[in-house]
Amino acid sequence: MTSVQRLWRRSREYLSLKAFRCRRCGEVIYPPKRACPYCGSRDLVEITLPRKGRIITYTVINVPIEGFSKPTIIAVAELGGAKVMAQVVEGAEHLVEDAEVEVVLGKVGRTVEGLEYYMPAFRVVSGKDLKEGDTD
Amino acid sequence: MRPERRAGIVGWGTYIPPRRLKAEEIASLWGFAPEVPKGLWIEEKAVAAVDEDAVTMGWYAARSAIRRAGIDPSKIEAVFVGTESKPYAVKPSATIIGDALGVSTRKLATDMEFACRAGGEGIRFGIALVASGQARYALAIGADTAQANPGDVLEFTAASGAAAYIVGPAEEAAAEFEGVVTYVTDTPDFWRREGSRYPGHGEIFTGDPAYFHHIISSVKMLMTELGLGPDDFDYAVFHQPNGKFPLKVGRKLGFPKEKILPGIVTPWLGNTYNGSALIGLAKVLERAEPGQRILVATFGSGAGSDAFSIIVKDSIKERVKKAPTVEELLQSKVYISYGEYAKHRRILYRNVGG
Repeated sequence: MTSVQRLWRRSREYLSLKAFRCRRCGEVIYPPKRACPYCGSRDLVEITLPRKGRIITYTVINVPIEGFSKPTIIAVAELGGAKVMAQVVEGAEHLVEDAEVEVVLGKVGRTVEGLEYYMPAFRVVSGKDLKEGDTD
Repeated sequence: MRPERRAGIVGWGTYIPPRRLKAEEIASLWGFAPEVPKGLWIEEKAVAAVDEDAVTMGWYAARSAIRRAGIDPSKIEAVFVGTESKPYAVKPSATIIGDALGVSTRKLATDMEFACRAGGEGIRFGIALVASGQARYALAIGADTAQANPGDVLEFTAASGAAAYIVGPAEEAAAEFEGVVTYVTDTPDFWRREGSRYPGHGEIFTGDPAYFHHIISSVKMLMTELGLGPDDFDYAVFHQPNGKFPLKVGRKLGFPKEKILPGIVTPWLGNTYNGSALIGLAKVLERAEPGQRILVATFGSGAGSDAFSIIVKDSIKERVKKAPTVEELLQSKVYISYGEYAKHRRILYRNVGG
């Protein structure tokens, strides 16, 4: 669960897939931070992550807390060099490591105040759904 | 009326959730004769998942529309969301979708309600803004997770889906608006009261005085104003509460079924309310040839109908392949049981916390 204020502060940058690339070590940081968590450098340049990437790993939560779908699947995917963690909202039947995912808008929860929250979420796409060069 | 400055469809996109519920399962559960869904020409319907709603579906359709348009979303200056299943009674869906897409903060943004035709009205507003020079691009979305009382005949068709259109200058468009009119009266054929989970309707009253009268009136007005007849159109797309009504209204207006069938989606998708006619239009745009003329007539209970005449332009073909087509979305499906449908559409209520 999270708060209305926290969602409001962070959701725009989460949804836009804005990230930083560290000019010193080259790591890609998402969500954006003031300093590179890998080398501590503050010499960062803003980039936008692609909306398609590949699953690195995932976990299936069969007993989620109230308010989340059962099971809740959380995955980490590589998007343009960044490791992005999000809920899998579609295509779980195709879910394997290295599966291709597309970032969509997911309704992933509700605050205790009753605010729906919409965050980047993963849709796992099978190979036949992909279009060549479709990386935006 | 003909717009003073020419406006057109710069991009379009659709979303159809992959879950499908077969009409025969609904009939079997509630004891309807198998002839009932056949009489409506409904075979299966699309069901939004528990974590999908008009916002998520509208966003997906809009993103496809932006890709087809090839524009920077920050250039969009208006977002209209036509829906009768918005997540909040008070809080706009248009702001959520606008921010998630990266649309400019310098914009109009509003949710519109007129039963199933609010999305069409959003397109009209978009044309007005572009034609008057008040916006370069306007985004109009029709999206619904349609509700139906379990066991009501409406349950065969009430479905989920979305369509989005970016209206912009005609010189950038894949299809141009030649003319548009709207016909509106106060006709109580279908309604949902504040706090009511499911709509009520006037049974047979939803036909002649509502759907047929309003669509026939708007289309006749349009054809009279433009000096056109059924022979001048290559396709005719009508709002599709079921599979039979659009064929019947087309027949009454003098359109052969060959011009109507390409835009039919409801038998395999259901009635997506604000998405209905607009998904049908997308399906036609995805097969149309430059120079062809398309008639589109929306319908919303209460009641009203917008009629558009649209002429397809040369750039249509290159834009089709930039996003999933209606045919591709229709083919991408997984069948679910009535029980799964009940869970996803929150027909089942659970006590939480004892």
